[in-house]
Formats: sequence, C-alpha cells, structure tokens
Amino acid sequence: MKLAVVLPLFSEREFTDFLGINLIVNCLRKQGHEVDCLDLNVALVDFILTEKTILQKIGEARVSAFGGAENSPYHEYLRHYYKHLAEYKNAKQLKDSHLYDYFFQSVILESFAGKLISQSANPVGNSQLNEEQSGLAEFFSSLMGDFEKSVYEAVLVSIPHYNQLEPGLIFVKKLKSICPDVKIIIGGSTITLLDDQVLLDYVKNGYFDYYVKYTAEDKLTALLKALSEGSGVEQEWLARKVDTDIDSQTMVYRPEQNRSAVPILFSRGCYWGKCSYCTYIQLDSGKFTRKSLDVLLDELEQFSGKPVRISLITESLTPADARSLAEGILKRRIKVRWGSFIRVNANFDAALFSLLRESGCIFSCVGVESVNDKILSFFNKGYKRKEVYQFFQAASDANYRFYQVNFIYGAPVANLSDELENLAFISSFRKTIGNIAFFKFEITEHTHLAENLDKYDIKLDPQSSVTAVRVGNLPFVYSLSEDEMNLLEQAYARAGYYFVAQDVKLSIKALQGAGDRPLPLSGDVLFSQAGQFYLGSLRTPFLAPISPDLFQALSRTPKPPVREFSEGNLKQFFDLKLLDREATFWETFAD
Amino acid sequence: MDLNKVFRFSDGVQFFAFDEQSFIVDSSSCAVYDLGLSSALISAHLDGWRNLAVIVGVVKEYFNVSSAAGAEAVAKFIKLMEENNLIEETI
Repeated sequence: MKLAVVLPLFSEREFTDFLGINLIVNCLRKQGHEVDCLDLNVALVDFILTEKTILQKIGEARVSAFGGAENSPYHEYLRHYYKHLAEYKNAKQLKDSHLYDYFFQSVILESFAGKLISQSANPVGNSQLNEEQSGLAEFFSSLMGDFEKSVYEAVLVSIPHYNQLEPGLIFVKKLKSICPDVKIIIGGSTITLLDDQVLLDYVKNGYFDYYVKYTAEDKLTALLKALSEGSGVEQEWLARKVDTDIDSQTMVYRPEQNRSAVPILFSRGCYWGKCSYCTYIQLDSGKFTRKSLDVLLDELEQFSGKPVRISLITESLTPADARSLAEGILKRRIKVRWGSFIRVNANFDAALFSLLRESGCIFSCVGVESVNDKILSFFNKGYKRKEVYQFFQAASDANYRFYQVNFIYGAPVANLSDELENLAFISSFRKTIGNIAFFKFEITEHTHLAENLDKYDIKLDPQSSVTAVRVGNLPFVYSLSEDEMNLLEQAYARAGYYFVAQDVKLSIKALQGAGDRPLPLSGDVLFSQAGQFYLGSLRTPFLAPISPDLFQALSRTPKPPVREFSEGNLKQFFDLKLLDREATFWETFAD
Repeated sequence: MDLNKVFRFSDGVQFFAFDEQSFIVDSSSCAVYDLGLSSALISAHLDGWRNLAVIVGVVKEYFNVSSAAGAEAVAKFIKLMEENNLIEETI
C-alpha cells in the first residue's frame, strides 16, 4: 500500500528522534509498503522559507512588537536576523547550518503555536480548534494540495506529545474533508493515554477511522492487510494491551544519524513500576520485558566507532542488566558512547559505576526526583534520602559523572524547606552531576495519586491556569505560594547554569588545545550603530556590545586562530551559540 | 572589625555552594542573592561557624592577598549581609 506516516505540529524534536515511529516505518517497509515520512514541522518551515512574504511579515511584526525606540540595537539585530533567514530556501539548509532549532523556537513556535493550541488542560472538543485564527490556513491549504496529489491509501498520524494532539486533530479533520476515501489511523503515546470514549467520539465525528493504542506494529500489520482486502478490524482489538516480540524491534545504523542521539529499545515496562505519579508504565502491556542481551549487543555493534549517542530506551536499567551489558560491550570491543535511565538502587556500587564508565556509558540519567523522605514516600519511589546519598557517593568514588539528574518540585506534601534539600544535595554532588532538569509536579488521570486524592488530601483546582504538559492533567492546589515556587525555580535555574558553565569551560579547554586553527565560529550577526559595535547570534536572542578590536577580528575571513581570543571571548561565543559545544565534544570523541 | 566574632546565617537563609555560581536563598523574603567567588568562599566558612579571623585567613590564602585586603573583603561582605538581615552574630 502507499502510506504516509505523519508527525504533526509542533515538535522541536525530529522525526528520527522518535523510536516508536522509526520502528513502525521499518516494520512497514519490510512488509513491502511504500512509506513516505512526513514531518509537518519541517513542512511548515519549508513553507515559510518558500513564501518569503510570510517570513517578511513575521519579521516586521517581531520588530514592531519589540517596542521601545524603533532604532534600538535590538531592532537592528532583528532586521539582520530576518534578512539573513531570507537567504535560506528550506529546512534542510537551516539544519545543515545548525540554525533550525532556534528558527523553530523563535519563529515557528512564537508565531503560530500559541494561536493554534487552546492550552486546555483536557482533551479538546471540536469547538476549540483554532486553525482559522492561527495564521496557518495557507499552510494547511498547500499541504492538503500535496496530499491530494500523492493519493495515499492510508495516512498514519503519530501523536507522541500532548501538545501535538490539537494540531494533529486539525490536520486529520482537514485531510478527511479533502480526501474522504483515505483511511486515517492515529496512534502514539498521547493516544494510548487518552480515554477510549473520547477517541471513539473523534471517530464518530469523522476525524479519523481508527486509533491504535500501545505497541502498534502487529496491529497495523493486520489492519493494513484487512484494509487492502476491503475489510477492516475491530476497533476494540486495536485499543487492547499487547505483547510484542521486543527482539524484533531493532534499529539500523544510517550515516545521517551521526552526531545525534539514536534511540535503541532495550526494555518495556519498569522493574519498579510503583511510582505514584507515573503514567509511562501504562504505555505498554504492563509487564517488564527485556530484549535478549545478544540481540542488543548485535544492534549496538553496528554503531561501534560511529559518532552517535546511543540512548537506551528503558524506564530504568537494573544493576544486573547494567553489569551484563557493560561486560558484553567490553568483551565484544564495541566502541559506543551510550546512556540509559538508571534508578537509585543500592546495588549500583563503585565497581559497577567504574565498569559502566569503561564501557562508554557517559549519558546516564537518574530520576532522583527528591532527597526528602516525606516527598519520596509520597512519590513511592522505593528508596530514601540515605540511599540516594549512598548511590551518588558510590558514583563519586568511581569518578563517574551522571549526564543528567532529574528533580520534581511542587508536590502537595512539600514545604519550601523540604524542596530546598534538593538544592543542597545538588551542591554536594556537583562534581558527580553533568546537568540537572527540574519539572513541576503534575497529577494525571489513572495514576495511583489520581485514584487516591482523598487519601493524600489533595485538593483539585479546576480553575488553575497552569499549562499542562501531560495528557489527562488534574490541576491541584499547590502547597507552595507563587513566590516560593518562583524562588525555587530561580534557585534550580542558577544551579542549572552552573552545570552549563562547567561544560562551557571544558569546551573552551578543548578548543584551546588546538589554538592554531581558525576560530570555528558561525551564525554571527555583526553590526555597528551610533559608534557602538554589537555581536548577535542566529542561534540565540542575545546581543552583546563588543570592543572595536573584537569587531574587527570577527569581521576577518577566515577567522583569526583560536589563540588570539581570550577565555572571556570564547565563553561569550559559546553563550551566544556561535561556537558549538556538541561539535567540540565530537571532535574530542574522534581523537 | 572584631575578628573574634562568629556569625551564622539567619533562620530561613541558606547558602548553596556552586563555586563561582554560588548563591544564597532567603526563604522569608523569597529572594535569591548571587555571590562572587570571594563571597562564596566566605559564606562556605560562615556556614561552618568559624570566627572571622579564620575566614580572613582562608580568603588571604585562597586569593594570595595581604591580611588587610582579606579583612577588608570579609568586612565588606559581613556588612552587606547584616544590612539585609541575612546573618546574625552568635554568642
């Protein structure tokens, strides 16, 4: 069959980042289907860069919206930014120049996302679809023209993230009106977590023909076979929990994956599976299922020596699996840089952390969430403060550094002092942590907490204006005041900046190691105004006044050698993203 | 400046050591104060309830400055902190 697999607006992550979508595309192609992968985010960027008048209008609106004196340096910077963008013809050119991400954030999300998405905490109804107000009517019209020409027999739409639900519904509704005979099948994590009655209403109202929950390969195989024979399958079966052969869900190396993260599935379900707020464990059969070690090692072997970050997809790697995998990688001399989610567990000792480091496990992520016993008990994490400190001490003893450590703040049982314990912990182990991420606590439907609100004395707040990140969010009354929440966020942000600054320091050191090479700077916006010189960036909104000497040096082609720039200059270039920390990392890796 | 004095952070004030990105949080006023490297160094030792003479010694050694310069930095920091009610003298 001729099929399209579609990723709707608005995703900052690329099509290839989504493991589930890639596995489905691989599976369908193996079965002989002709599959086009259509990322509507890329399509929108292509459209904006083709329709220069739209880009020009966006630019003018941004300049005038900035306010203040019309000829301020920032107005001048914006004019330079949009003039420069007009030179690009499509998303690929932006990606090749590493300008896509900021363009997507600053132009696409800023100009369209807020207008298209109603930001309702609950799944949307027909009346809330804002396509007409979004300024995207022309884009959708052009897109539908392309779909009409392509004559797909079925269109598969994946909704990985909740904020893609509304744009996804707008897309399928329009597609159905233009191509009523095309079968539309919708799936993805967000769909799996939505109630069947809501989804059945959408089917009834003509948004899509079928929805698929949980792992989709086997179900899609059967459904597409039935459709090609002129029949269909029971919707109820498509929504059931299934067991899929995890050993068949493998990835293949492709050169375009270089210098990016490659998701590789290792397990489904979670060996702990009892966190009171977690919905991830509802995304599959509920059983903890692991890929055979030999299958995983064969898969990893393809990536040996390649400049990719292997991101092992697992809710949490057990200590025993971590040991077997690290030993297997070392025994088979597989040269990979890999990472996984790891849960705080006393069986991770210093020896195991040393083994992990030796095997190339430098991208591990730990969801500590909190070090306060009251909050940990509320989250039902299965460990206490003492174990968290022991776990991190073991890593520290082995000179192991976690790539990222996650925290959750805003639990209804927490006061400010409880929350600040996390900051003290982060400070204590700052040499063992590569970066931190902090998330505001949300309660979602079907979790243990959602079903025991009274037991935990949680008061719902239907009037809350807090924007939901996850599907089925149940807004509740926070115990922290707005000022306390702001204070906490500021403190986390400062701690987070510390880790970024440490990374920048390492990158500067690496760069200075090859001081004779020309400064690998790109994406700069240089201009002068009223006798003052400025340095801006095509990758951040920041603008810095600079000295005439620095202005002159940066105006030279090729750029002067690295050694001619001070450490302060180099730091500023990294802050403006004119120098690339990722590129510096991979150059070190290649050495 | 009386170097025998010992100060501690006021209730609700907490120091977080992040080297040159260190900061102080005042829970009662919900304010965050960024600290420079020398302020962070002083705060770290203040947290350990050491008298000002010890702290001046640490600053002097760390920054390789004279006793007078070390004492001046400590005095300036203590004054600023006292003005904002972030520290109090202990007995």
